[in-house]
Parts: sequence; C-alpha cells; structure tokens
Amino acid sequence: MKALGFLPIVAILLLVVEMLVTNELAGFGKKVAETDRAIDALREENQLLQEKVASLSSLVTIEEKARVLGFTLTPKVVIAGKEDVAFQR
Amino acid sequence: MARIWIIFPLILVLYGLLVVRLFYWQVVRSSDLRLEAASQYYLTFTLPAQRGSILASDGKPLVLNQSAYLVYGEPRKITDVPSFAGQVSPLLGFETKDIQATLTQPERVWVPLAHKVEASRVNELKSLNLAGLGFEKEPKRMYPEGSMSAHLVGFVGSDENGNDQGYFGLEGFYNRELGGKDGMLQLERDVRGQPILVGETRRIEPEDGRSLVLWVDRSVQRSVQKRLLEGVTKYGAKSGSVVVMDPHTGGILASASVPSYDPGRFGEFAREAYKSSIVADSYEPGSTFKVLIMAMGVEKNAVTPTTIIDETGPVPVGDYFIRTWDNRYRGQISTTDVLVHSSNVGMVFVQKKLGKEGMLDALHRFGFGEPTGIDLQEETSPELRDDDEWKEIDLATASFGQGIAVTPIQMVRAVAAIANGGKLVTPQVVKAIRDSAGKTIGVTSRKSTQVLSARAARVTTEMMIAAVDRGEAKWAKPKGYPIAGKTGTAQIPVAGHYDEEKTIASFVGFAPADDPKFVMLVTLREPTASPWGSETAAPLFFTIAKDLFSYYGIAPQ
Repeated sequence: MKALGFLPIVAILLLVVEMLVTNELAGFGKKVAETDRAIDALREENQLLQEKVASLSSLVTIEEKARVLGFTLTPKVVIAGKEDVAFQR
Repeated sequence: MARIWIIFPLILVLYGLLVVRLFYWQVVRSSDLRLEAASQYYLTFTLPAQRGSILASDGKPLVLNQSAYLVYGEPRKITDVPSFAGQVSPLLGFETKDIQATLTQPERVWVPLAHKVEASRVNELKSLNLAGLGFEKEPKRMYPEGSMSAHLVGFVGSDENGNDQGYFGLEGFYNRELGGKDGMLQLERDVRGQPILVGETRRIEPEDGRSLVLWVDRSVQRSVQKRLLEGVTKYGAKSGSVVVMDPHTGGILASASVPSYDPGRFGEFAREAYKSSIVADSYEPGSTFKVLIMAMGVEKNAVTPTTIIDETGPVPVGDYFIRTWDNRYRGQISTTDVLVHSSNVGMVFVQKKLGKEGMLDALHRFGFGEPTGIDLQEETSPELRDDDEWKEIDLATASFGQGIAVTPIQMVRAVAAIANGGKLVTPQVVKAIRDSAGKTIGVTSRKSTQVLSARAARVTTEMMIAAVDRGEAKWAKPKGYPIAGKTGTAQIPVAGHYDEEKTIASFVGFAPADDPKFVMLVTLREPTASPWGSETAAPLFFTIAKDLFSYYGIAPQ
C-alpha cells in the first residue's frame, strides 16, 4: 500500500521529464536548420568542383594545354606497305 | 408582458444574424481562413529538382548545371537606396539608375535584381554585407565544350511562368525527362520562424531530372565542327552542314551546322540560328539522289551495273529536254558509268525502266515525305506530291535529285540503307538515359525496316565505289581507302525557276565501303569558290574522312 503512494510522484516526475524533453526537441529546429545549411554548403562546393572538372577536361582546354606544351595536331600518317619492311619472311 | 413580446423577437433576430455570420466565417470562408492560418504557422519550401546533364558517348558532359543565384532586393530593409544601387550595380553589370528605379517601385517588398548570377559574383555581393540583399539558388546551364554541338543540344530558356524550359534540339525534345519534378517541404514553425522538430512535417522528395548519354563522340564532333568551319570559309559558302551517322545503329556520331550560335548566350543570336539545318531545312539533293534511284533499279532488276545506255544527246521528256551537266554525251555507257559521270540522261533511262510505280516506291521506301523520327525537337519534313500528281517530267527530274526536296537527315538515313545491307534505320542522338542515381534506363531501339535486299545494297555499293574512284572528285580521294560516295551539285529554286549561278554542293558517302564505320553527308550552300560538289563538298568530305580514319585507327587496304 505504501508502494502505491509513490505512483503519483513517479507519474508527476515522468510528466515533468516528458515536458522537458519535448521542450528541448521543440527548440532543436534551429539546430536542424543549421545542419541543413551546412549540407547545402557542401553540396554547393561539390557542384563547383564538378564544374571545374568538366571545364578542365573539355577538349577545348585539353587542346590549348597540348598546344602550349608543344603537341601538334594529327601528323601526316604514313602507312608502311609490305615492300617497305626491312625483313620479310 | 408587452415589453417581453417586443424584446423577445428582437433577441431572436439578433441571434439569427449571429448564426448567419458564424455560418459565413466557419463554413463559407473556412477553407480560405484555414489556408491563411496555415501560412502563419507553416513554413513551405519548394525543393527544386536538378535538371539532368547531357553527356557525350565517353560520359563527359556536353551540358551540365552550374551553380548560380537569383539576386533580389527587399526595399523596406534598404535604408540608403542610392548607396545600395551604387555598390550592387557594377557587380551585376547594370546601370545604377536602373537598379535604383527597380528598388523604388511603390508597394514592392521584394524585387528581383538579376537572374542566374554565377557563384563567384554572388560571393563578391555577399562580402558587401548589405541589408536587403538576398540570394536564392537558380542554377543555369554550363557548356564545357563551348558552342560545339549547339544545334544538337539546344538551350534552356524560360516559359511564361518563368520556369526553366528547354528549346530546340535535345533540351526541347527531352524537356520533361531532363526537367524532373520539384518537391515540397512543409514544416510547423515557431514565433521566430524556426522549424519545430516535433511539429507536423510534410515532405515530397524532388525527382531530379534524368541525364542523357549520346551517341555523339566528342572528338569526332570537334573535328567535324572545325573542318566544316574551315570549309565554309575556304569555299566561300553562305552556310554548311555535316552529319556523321553510324549506319548500323542510326546513332548520330557528329552533327554540325554553320552558322551556329552559343547556347549559353542564345539571346544574342537571331532566332533563325537556333534550328539545326540538318533536320529543319530542306534542299534539292541533286546528283547525290542518283544512288538511291539506282539502288531501287538494281533491287527491282530493272537495271544491272553493266546495263548499257545510249547517251547520244539530250533526251526529250514531254515538252522538255534533259541534258547532261557538262553537255557531253559519251555514246554507249554502263549504268555504273552513269554514276561515275553523273549522267542525268542515264538516270532518266533508269527512271523509265523503273516506271512511275517503281520511282514512287523508291521515294516511299527510303522514307522521303515523312520525318525520320530523330529525337530532336525541330525536325520537319518537306511534303511529297500525292502519288497521282506526279507528271512525267517530275519523275524524270526526281531521278537526278531536282524537283524534290529532302532534309539532310533524310538523305543520310537513306544512303545508310545502302551501307548496312538494306535496312532503313531511325536516326538517334540519345543512346541511353540515366536516372539521378546513375542507373541506366536505356533507350528502346527503334525498329529498322528492310528496304533493299543485301544483294542490291552490295551491288550499289560497288557502283558508288567506282563513282568515287573514277568520278570528278577522284583527285581528292585519300589513297588506299575504299570509299563509296556520290557528288551532288543542285541548282537552287528561286521564285519558280532555277538560279543560273547559285548551287548547293554536296557529297554523301560511307567508309570503309566493305565494313562501313560511318556514313556522312556534307552540304555547302552557295559556295563561291566553285559551284561544283566535286570541287568543294567532296574534298571537305575526304578531309573529314581522313581525320576519322586516323581517329578510328583504320588502315588503308
């Protein structure tokens, strides 16, 4: 019977805890918003890096870099015929 | 008692009015008020869908999204409008007075200042730390390869609601697949506007747009674009086009038209530049058309490669006379020589052997008069006369490609049927579609139709090889490569007659002829260096072909 007397106290305590937790969660919205902003910032950075990769791997860029490095366009292709080889079986 | 009977009805009337008013607010206006209340305690965000990319056959992007922003102003938060405008306008590239005028519009709490501003510029604006200056994501399209393949990809503009909309080319044709579907997030918010985590949340995820993987080979496209530009300049042409197609699959390996435009700055170009001439412009094909009529003649056993024709002079057709292009008449020649010397007289002979039915069957079988079904938005097809409207002279001139209009894509598709053993394929730019997770969905390959027998295709190929080896363009042909092709020089119809000087020079062909890797059509409109296809379009074709042989590692035989 004595034990039953504690029940209301426990109930009140649990109620208070629930109210505190709910209140805490209700205020988490700000943290969620901040996390979302951080995710957006990382996505933005990924996007910018993707753009940079696309730009650097474009044929226009590669051709220009190749030209600066001294490469030339496809040279004249000379095909050696059978009669041109040094050794023939 | 009398006073009660006076007051009681009054109370009843007042009570009735109250009920009516309550009915009005709680029933009639309930939905409006509910929405208004929801807007106060709900935050609603649009979760924009990312537009899909357009990738070349090697997976590298021809078109992708670039980070950009809508820059807006909130006039009520700006204390010094002239100073604000003075700081912002140079970075946005506008006049200060224009920005000021925008910000001082009466009753405006929010005004857009600039659309699709690049991230680097936005960072500079952010560093000004100006109150009343805001930014919202508004990605724009980026073209790493510049204006290469502009006519294939099209561009992204706005619809009447200001939303992104693809126009022309692939952006137009596949606008729905590329655009995706925006999502929505609705959160309960507190008095400070922050979301309440345990509150009611509704979320609809955005469906990002799908990406397109093309048949287009970047290197082939770049080579074709470059050579076409050189050719148009060298031969003094008004315009030109080149299309390269895989004859077995119908996959478009490259497609270029000059003049072109920059899809990133499409507003700075005339609207006429947006359409690809390869699918949207028609022309009279001239002598290139002869190979198709000859193929049908062989198919129907009307002629063989060695059938002899008497080319003694102009041939009468009704009230007209059909002459050769050079007014030379070579006596007894074979049908192969008809192609070699591009004899109009010889082609009239073939046409008469085919008859009206055979000629019309040829036009229908090769798909003329109808769009090819290529996946580009602006494809059109010139109409053919009704079958019963063809006169004798029409059939005769059609046999050598005059008096009939085609588009370049129709022409190259028809010749591809000779290259691939007789199948009329559907040209396709897109090889596969990928969803946002990278999973390939694939493109249903469209049915091809057998329009020629393999025998007729093989025989016609041999005749076309002879036309290249012994014809007017033999001087430009790369040695050691079997190339099947035909030159064309068509007069341009102007106001009911043909212009004496202006021509459309063209060359159509495929190589290597025994196992074709590509079929290509080159057209040059009004070349001034020479009107003849053999002296302009043919050498340009062979120059591009040499690039392709080198790129594909095809050795001469």
